[in-house]
Amino acid sequence: MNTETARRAMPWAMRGAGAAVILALPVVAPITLLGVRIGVTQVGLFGVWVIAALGLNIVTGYAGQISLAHGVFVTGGAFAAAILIGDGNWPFWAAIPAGGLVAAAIGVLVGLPALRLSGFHLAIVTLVLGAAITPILVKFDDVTGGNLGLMVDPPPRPRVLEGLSQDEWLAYLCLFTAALMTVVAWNLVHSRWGRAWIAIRDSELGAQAMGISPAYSKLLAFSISAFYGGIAGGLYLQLMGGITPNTFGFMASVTLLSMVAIGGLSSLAGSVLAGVMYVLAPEVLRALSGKFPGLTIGEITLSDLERTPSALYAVMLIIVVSTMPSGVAGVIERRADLTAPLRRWYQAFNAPSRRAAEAFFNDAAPGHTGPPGKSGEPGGTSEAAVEQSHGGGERDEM
Amino acid sequence: MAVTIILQLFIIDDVFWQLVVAGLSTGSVYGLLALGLVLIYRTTRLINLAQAEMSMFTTYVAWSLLHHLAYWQVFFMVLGIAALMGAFVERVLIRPVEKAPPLIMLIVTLALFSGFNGLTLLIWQGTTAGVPFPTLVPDNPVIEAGGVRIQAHNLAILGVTFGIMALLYLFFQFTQTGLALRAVAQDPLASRLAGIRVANMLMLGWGLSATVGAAGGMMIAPLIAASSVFIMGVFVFALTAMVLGGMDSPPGVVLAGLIIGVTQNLYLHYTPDAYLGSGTELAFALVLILGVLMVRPHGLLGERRVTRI
Repeated sequence: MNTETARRAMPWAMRGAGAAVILALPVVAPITLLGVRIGVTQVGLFGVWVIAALGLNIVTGYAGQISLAHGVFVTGGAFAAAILIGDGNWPFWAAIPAGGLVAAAIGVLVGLPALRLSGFHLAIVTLVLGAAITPILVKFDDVTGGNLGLMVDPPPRPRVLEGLSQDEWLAYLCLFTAALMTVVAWNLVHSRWGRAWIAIRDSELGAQAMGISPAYSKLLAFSISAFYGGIAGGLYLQLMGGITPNTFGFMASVTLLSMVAIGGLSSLAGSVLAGVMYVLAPEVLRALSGKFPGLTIGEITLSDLERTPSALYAVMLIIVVSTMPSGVAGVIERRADLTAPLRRWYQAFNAPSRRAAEAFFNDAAPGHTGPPGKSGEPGGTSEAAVEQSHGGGERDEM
Repeated sequence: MAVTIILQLFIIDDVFWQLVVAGLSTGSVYGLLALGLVLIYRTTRLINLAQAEMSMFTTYVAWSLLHHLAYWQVFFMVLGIAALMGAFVERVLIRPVEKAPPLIMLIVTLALFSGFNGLTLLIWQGTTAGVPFPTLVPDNPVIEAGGVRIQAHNLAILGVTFGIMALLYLFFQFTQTGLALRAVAQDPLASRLAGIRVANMLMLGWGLSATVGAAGGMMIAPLIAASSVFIMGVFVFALTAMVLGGMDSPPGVVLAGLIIGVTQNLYLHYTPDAYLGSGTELAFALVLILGVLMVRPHGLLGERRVTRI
């Protein structure tokens, strides 16, 4: 309960800060923070990957179903948008949502048979889909351009934004879409659907007893997640000017899921963090290997690590999952001493109501000892008791 | 069943039998990897997403050792290394999240996936540097029997995989430890009450799984370039075998592996290359999985799962 209350108690400061960052970033970029260069393109990519991470978090964090095909939805949305823009002469504002719908359709197609079974089945099916899609796209090269992929012209700048450069306009497009999609995601996970997802994740049987159809709800979450992926793909296409079948292979899906879990499952702030990390992690590694070219671990140099960072991400993921199950965002929201004084100040200043006081005291209570990924949600700790009383071997449904 | 339908559909000639035998040998490796998955699924209730990456890693270890030692020495040494590695992974990474929801456990295996993938790329830079992995039979002669030409390696794969499967069968049926492992898979709580050390059994299960995977990796390596992309292909077919055979049935997944190996070969050879054939074999696996999930979700020999409320 504490997170939700805290979030409700401090929306305006957050929204204001978010809006300020969004408005300022494209114009002030390129900026260099601690040797890490963040260009205008990176700012646009933040938007793209925040959207993708939000989508993945809806299905994995909220509905509790692991999806290993998010890269497929990004690729699918991008290719659909590229074909519509290139061959169909669609305007970008129609082609990108259409790409999202195509991705959602793929999601429904593979999700339908898998989701009425266990979460393992979805993991298997999405893994196979993720592995299968690249060779398919390469094979049908008369539609997809094969290994070279498809290129599109950048979307025209609206007349009112003539003052901006092309890159800045694209970055704004991505960031504003990301902000919009974040608001939509917030509303989704706090809606009837969102509560159904959380209920299914925590206890499928219990949710069923409450009259929720797990298959329907999961399919909804999965297709919405795919839609988010498709939108991210369309924006990526516009931002980078093209897409190839190999741009987001299976490893991209794995990395994005790792980032979402590191950022915080079932936390929208965690997804925003995940999207930013997805873009920044390679840049940070690049900056590090530029700064310390001689640094080696055994025979592995930093530039090797920059080229294949997956082992590093794996270590991060394992540390986060086993020490802070609600991810980095969960830690920041609940524990970090850095924000606690600020929050206390804010609560005292803003709303000396019962709700804020509750939020404050709940924060101090050890609410984060529940099972991983569940703390902070209603019934987090009681769920732990149920889990234990079940004993091993009865985890039939995921 | 699927095989008989295909028999009626296609012209049966020497090429056909060649494809079948080659398919059986790759299929037996799929079956072996799927068996590794089932070993973990039955004991830990988890799909080890890193199964194929772990066998790729051990295959690279074997490839490095081959510079110094003879093939069979390396073979058994790597099996041992893999067993230790599997047990280590269970003890250090899986056990801390044992009580966590399956989602978290799956994410840990995903971390293992990218960990082993990255480690292999970092250590060996993703190449076997032009030195192909040796075959089980030196020089890999082509054996001809009744017009059917088969590489000796394919036959050797069949022999070794079925040898391993027979050993596993004997282990599970006729030893105390095998019985204990089966008991743990059936009911961990009751086994604990009966005095079985469940934690050790889970460790053993992971060790066995990694061993089986390592054997599969070393046998498939000469047939494919053992890069991360190709091992994904093998893994996809192993997962397909797991779904088709029934998630928890060892004989089922072996049978399914063989069926898939043969069907894959026939599919690649007999379908028009313009819009099917090469490049679509993974999509073929996807269609197969979706079909199985729609028609027979518990697979060929799997148990129909009933949940008690």
